[in-house]
Amino acid sequence: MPLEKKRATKKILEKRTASTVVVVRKRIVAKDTLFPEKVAKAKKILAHSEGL
Amino acid sequence: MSATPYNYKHQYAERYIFTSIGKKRIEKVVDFVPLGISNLISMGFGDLLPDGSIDDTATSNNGDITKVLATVIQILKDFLADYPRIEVFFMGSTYERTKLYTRILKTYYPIFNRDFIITALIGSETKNRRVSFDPLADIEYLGFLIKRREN
Repeated sequence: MPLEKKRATKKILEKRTASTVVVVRKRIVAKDTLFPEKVAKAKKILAHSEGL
Repeated sequence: MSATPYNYKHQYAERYIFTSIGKKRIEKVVDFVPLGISNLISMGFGDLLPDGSIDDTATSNNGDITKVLATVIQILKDFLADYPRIEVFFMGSTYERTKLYTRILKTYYPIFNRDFIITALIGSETKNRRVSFDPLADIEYLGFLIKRREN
């Protein structure tokens, strides 16, 4: 393949890559909280709750 | 609430940070954490200390309480817009603080009620039940559950 054609193909591919849309589904990820005591207390209270 | 909220940074999907500007500058953080119970998330709120730890018992007296609360409400709205099926649980870090939250919910109930369904827990930590939040009742609540109202 001639060099110029190769370059043109490369450019097209770069363009396609750049315009690729990546859809990331939002999720709440369990991780270390800044409020561990509050979370532990909330879990305890809600575990002993009726009507949830 | 009539106060204009502070601008905030949405640091992660579940963490927001803003700066309270009053007598001093105080970094505030609002954190949402799954509780492992269906669709329930715990909301924590406190001061971010210079060493990276959190103080959720501090009474800042920074002179901007309404602005800080307006920001927390805005963050809650923002979060529930992202997760409309989620119910957010929150309570005070102390008995006094839970009473303060009760007073705030009572005062601004007509405004909150437009956007949120508010329920609360009554009883003890080891035996409690969910009730509708009544702004006129003199009840001691354990904590509160907030859900976005479906329009």
